[in-house]
Amino acid sequence: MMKKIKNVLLIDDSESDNFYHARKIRKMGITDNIHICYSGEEALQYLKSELDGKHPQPTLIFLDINMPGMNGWEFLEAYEQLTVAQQGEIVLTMLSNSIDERDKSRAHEFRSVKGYYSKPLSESYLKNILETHFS
Amino acid sequence: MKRIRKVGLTNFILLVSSLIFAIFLIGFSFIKNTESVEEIAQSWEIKSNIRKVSSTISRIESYGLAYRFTGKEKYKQELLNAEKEYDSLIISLQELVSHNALQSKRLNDLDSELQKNLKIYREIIFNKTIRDSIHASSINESLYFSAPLQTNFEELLITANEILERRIDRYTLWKFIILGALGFATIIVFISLYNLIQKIKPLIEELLSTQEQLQTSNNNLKNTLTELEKSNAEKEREIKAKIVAIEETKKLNESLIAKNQQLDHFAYVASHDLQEPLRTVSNYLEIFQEDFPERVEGDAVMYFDFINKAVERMRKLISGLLSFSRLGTSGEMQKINLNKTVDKIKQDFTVVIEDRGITIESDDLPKIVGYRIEIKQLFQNLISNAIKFTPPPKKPHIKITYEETENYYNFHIADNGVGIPEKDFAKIFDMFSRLHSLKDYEGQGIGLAFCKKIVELHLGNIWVSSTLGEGTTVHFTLKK
Repeated sequence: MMKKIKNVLLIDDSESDNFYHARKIRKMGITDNIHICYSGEEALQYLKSELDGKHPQPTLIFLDINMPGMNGWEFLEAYEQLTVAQQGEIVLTMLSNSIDERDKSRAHEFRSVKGYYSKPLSESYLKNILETHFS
Repeated sequence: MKRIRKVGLTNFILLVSSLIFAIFLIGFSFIKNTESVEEIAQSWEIKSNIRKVSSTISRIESYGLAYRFTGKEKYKQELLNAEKEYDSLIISLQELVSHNALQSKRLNDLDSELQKNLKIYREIIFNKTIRDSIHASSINESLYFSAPLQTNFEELLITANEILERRIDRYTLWKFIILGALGFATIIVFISLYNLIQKIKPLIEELLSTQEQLQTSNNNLKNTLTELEKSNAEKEREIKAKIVAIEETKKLNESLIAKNQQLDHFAYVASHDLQEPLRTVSNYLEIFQEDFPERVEGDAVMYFDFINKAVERMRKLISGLLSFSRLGTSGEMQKINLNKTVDKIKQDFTVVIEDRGITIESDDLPKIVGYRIEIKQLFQNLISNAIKFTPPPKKPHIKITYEETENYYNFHIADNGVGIPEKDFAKIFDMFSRLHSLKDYEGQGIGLAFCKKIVELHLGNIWVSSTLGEGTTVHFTLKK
């Protein structure tokens, strides 16, 4: 039985993708707490927000690159300016339509990016992430 | 020039020396001639003096006789005058003949004889006693003393004449020598001139012909020059036209490159963006089948199967298109050992090679410079095509050969497969082009389009030759 993680943040403008990804995560029983943001700005707001004096601090963040407005790269730059208390707990993983090697290497230039996967999020990806970071 | 100088010099020397000789001869002869003239004049003077002396003696005798018989003082005076005259004449005559010993002696003899006679004569004439007493016959003998002297005078004259004749002869001789020398000089001059002309003539002719030749070659040169100028102008025009053409080609190339980039970008963006909705379709097909398994039954299973297959195929096509647009962006050009590349492909294909009993023969392939991943893909696509289109039970036999030209490597990958009809030789390299139904051969029809793009990326060419039913050879070139 896999250990449950506290909460997961999905950042993606595509409603269908969010629904599909959330369903996959839920189905695998990784967490009971999934938060969805539809843009980079919204995600930043969410991360800065406080509830009972505490920031949400998601354990795992999935980020899409191609988004209208603030895209994945811009979000990453802003994210790295946040205080440690505001940032995610452990892992920020990119999800993208792109199979482009250049995007992949660019993503790894960011300290906080721990993985790069092309869509759709699959069970094998999730297993891989959990094994690498949470066991 | 050398020849001209030589001929001129010999002639000049000959001419000048001959002339100097002739002039010298003429001058010498002239001096001799003049001398002869003087001598002749002297001889004449001697002759006339001899006659004068002779006549003076006659006068002495005549006046003496006249005085003896008349006793007139006048004759005595004349006699004395004649004696004086004789003295001066004999002195000058003696001087004149002093160079001739014989004549001098004769003259001296004559003078002493005369003086002796004259002494007696004077005594006879001036002494009255003797004049009257002496025997008349002996007186007479002494009175006419001039007669015996005539012989002496004649001797003198004969000798003088002989000398004169000799001198005249000599004078004539020198005159002829002068004339001869003049004639000789003239002849020499003429001969020299003739020789000179004879020798210069061919040179002049040569010069003239050379000049003509020069004129001709000059004209030819002028013509050639004009032609050259013309062809130069033409060449210049051609060059300008070529430069323009090159520039146009360059522009076209640049725009082509730009267009190609745009096309690649378009293919990238299109395939990238097409993937997203397609993924959504496949995602929700999956969810539908999971969530409503009871609805997927009977014919619906077949429909879903078709939809899934179509979605899967479209995903492959799009991903192929995406990869196609990404060709040549994987890295830098580098040195590639093609033997290793082929070995690697053989390793990848180990299973199918063993299953089908495939033989892959290969030359000792060269090391080339290119995009590593793309070059491997090129060989891999061609080898897998060769296997794919050699259906069992035939055992695929693949032969990889190559040869080298100055600028290219020419490769040939031959198989013993189904072959390709000639009308399709060009078509097979088009994107998504397929000659067979999916039922017979799987595939997206992108393999050879990839190959074509990879070969073009390496500035080469790709084409095919085939005999239907016997096999196909894919030829391609890669620029060195």
